[in-house]
Amino acid sequence: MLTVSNEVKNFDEIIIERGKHCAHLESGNPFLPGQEFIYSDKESEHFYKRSDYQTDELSPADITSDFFNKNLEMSQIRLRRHPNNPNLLNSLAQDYQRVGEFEKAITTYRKSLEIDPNLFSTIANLAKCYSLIGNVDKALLLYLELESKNVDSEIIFENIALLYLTKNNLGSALDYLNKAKAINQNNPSIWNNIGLVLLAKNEINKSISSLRKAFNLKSDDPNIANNVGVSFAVQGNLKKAINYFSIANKLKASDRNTLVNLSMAYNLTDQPEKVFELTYDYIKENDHEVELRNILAWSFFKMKNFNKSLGLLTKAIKHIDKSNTTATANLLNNIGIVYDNLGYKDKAEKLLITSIEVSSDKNIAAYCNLIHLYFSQKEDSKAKEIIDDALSTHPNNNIFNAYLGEYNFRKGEYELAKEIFYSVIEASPEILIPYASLTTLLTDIDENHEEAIRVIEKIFPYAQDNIQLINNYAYILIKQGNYKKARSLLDKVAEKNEVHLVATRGLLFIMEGNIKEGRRYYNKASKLAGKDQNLANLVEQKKQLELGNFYLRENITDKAIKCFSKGLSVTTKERYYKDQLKKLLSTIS
Amino acid sequence: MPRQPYLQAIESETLLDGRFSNIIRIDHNGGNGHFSLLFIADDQDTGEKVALKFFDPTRYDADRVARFEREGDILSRFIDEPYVINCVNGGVKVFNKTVVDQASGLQIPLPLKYIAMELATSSVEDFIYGSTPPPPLMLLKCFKEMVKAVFRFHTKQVCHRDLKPSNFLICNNQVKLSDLGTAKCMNGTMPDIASRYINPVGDMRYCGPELFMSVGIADELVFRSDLFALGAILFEMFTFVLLTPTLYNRNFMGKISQMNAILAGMNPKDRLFTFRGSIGSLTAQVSYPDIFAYNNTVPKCIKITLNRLYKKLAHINPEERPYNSTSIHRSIDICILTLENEIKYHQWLQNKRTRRQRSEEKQQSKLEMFSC
Repeated sequence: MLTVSNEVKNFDEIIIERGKHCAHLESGNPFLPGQEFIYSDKESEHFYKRSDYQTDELSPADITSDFFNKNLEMSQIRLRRHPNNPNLLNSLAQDYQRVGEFEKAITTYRKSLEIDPNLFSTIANLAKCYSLIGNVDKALLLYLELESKNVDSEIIFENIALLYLTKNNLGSALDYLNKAKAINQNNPSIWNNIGLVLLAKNEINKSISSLRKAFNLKSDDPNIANNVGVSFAVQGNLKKAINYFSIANKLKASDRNTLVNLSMAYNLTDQPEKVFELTYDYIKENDHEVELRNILAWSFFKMKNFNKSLGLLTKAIKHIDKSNTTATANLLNNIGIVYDNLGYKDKAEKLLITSIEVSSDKNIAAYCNLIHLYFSQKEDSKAKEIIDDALSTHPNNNIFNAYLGEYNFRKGEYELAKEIFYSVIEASPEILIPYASLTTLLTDIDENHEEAIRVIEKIFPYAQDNIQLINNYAYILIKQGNYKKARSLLDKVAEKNEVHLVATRGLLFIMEGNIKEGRRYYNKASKLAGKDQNLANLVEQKKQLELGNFYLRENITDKAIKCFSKGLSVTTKERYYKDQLKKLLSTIS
Repeated sequence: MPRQPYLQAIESETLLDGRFSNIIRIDHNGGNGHFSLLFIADDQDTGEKVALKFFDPTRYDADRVARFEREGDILSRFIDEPYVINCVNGGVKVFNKTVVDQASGLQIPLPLKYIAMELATSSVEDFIYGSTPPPPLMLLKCFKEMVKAVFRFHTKQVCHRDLKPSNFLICNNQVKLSDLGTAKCMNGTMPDIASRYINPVGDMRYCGPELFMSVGIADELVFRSDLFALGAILFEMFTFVLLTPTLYNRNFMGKISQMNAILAGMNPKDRLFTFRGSIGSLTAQVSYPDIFAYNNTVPKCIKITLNRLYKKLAHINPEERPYNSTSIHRSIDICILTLENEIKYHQWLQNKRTRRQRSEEKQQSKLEMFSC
């Protein structure tokens, strides 16, 4: 039996945002690594503190801010001993910068430059300071000044490149990274950053080769391993991506970004059970962690443990930054989907509508899920309202045109539906929705099997794991009489209890002349449809149609008429099988 | 309590202990050491200038008194040692001064503890941050002497625990270790000072990470902690930048604090065992800057060796630091020899150029004569 579009569950999943987990390596500006420091104005009066505890041990206090404040204090003392030393002024400025006193840092750097205007580490540090406070233009100007002074430093070039990256000027960034590479071929951070720029430019293969080179040069760097993983993930090679993410995770346990990436890769490769093991400790320790909770919820969702998924998502929404409307909308959408699967359609509807309202860019996934919800509830008119609304806010998004086609298909406006589907396939061939319904139209209504095969073969190489498309492809092959290929396709699917697949297998048996087995499979499919009475009826109707066809081919007309009549007595919302039954019955009569 | 009356009282003394006259405060910090009062004086016995280090009574603390006593004790063990600042009066002496309280007219006896030491002309810090930056060869030779000083100190089973450029003094072109207030004798011949610190023992800017975790303070790794400081000093000598703030970022220090919270409660044996098991994870988090990336001070011909040496000395894991003076000296010697050869090579190249230029000029003048 053919699958129609709204059952191609493209969007019935937790939203993934992979792009943002690409870790840029800091250029490693040795003049001042990009560090953030907490400034504390608590001054320790004494270096040592008297007490009667154990010999020679530190009290377990947080020494972080003390360390940086003490440094500042000592730098000031040292400067008193060597006043106007440009290097010490540079050092003092760095200490100011580390405790967050950027204005004082800039003044001190300037003072150092007044004494020695050619001290290039001070110029570089001042540039870094400007870049830290977000003044990219001033920072860039200073670095370019250094370049004009013929300071051939890979680090300077790398920093210029990173500033250009901030300004989203990928071309110049790449130019400067290449200049840096020309100076030092063995600097892993340069190769890494080149790889990331190429990734941003969507030159995936080149990006992978650069990142792998970086990893070869520094195979103990978790960030690089993570980045190689990201590039493989973007390429679609999730197996290799998992390998690299796992290496990154081994090199730096509990790194959040790596955990996020590895978890998503596990989910995408249908290994959700591994995500729980991977993220449990981190989530337990980090109560405010939203994203990993979301991903773990997705894993439970995939394992059909909807209650646990809901628990995680509701906890995540409590901790989310409400000003981040996109993330909030995504979470609301996800909770909506979980409610939908738990059978709470009203709650799901409410949440999906809220998700659309909350997001400033009108959450596309929530729109799709809401349309899907209405279609599954057979509330086509409500679905149409949402489709119209979505098309008004996202007029260029062909997903909603595909849904419009689907709506017309369900309404019986086959020609209009076909026209829309073709236009969507032409403009956005990557959208899966139209293929299933279009092939149904072409096969079961137009009986144009060659065209149906042409359409499905266009997308099939890119969606070979999609059960619905496999089912439809096998169905068309059966109709064409290519039983062997159809069987091999069906055998490839691990999922054995999907209604449409079971029904298609029944059809295969009937076409091969094994009525008994064919009937058994159709009955099994009908049972599997469970509470979805309309689907069960549709399976029953199709069974009678195919059995009648078989008897007709065998010239057992009375049995055929009996089957067609039985088929017509079944009530379904869809009318395409009914039309066929009527036509056949009138032909025999 | 202000220091001024004490400084004046000591300066007013015409002949201290019948030996030291012409006492004048050393003015780096207005006569103030960090925890002591420093003076310059004439030694009547030798006719030489000496330094007098008085315990600062305004900062009285039993711990500090104990440390001052210990410094005197250690200095007395190193009399005539060429690499340690020499004590000229045999250790801590007490000078009883009577001060008259102006309001009440009461005479208050003041026992002032002091150590008399040979006078240094400058320190390695002055050498690094002088008006003109020293050439790399000089820096290397100076560092070699510093390494020698530290290892000679260690062979006597004493660790310094507060190595920094200002604690390496220079007397008659000889590098000498000073400021032994935090030094510790590890052969059990000195009593422990029972303390629980809020910060590591020495200057935090030169402290290895283990010192923030109650390790390497008084255990078997203590000597290796001195090596970290040497690595940090080497880095600073060539870059004019402090190493530790560059290495230890907020996350790193946070991790160290967390580890210390666990380790501080343990007995020393378990603490060391746990530290050894966990230091690997910390090592992976640190990325070392290159010593040659800051300026053009490091000559290209030695940059790799020098970079490797500083990274080894300042390794996060104390047990990875090379506790073998021969290997350290070999690396420094390689740098020195390479640099000397490089200098000679450049001189030879320059001479060759000059000779060639001269001969060309001669040839030219001959040709000119011929053409005339």
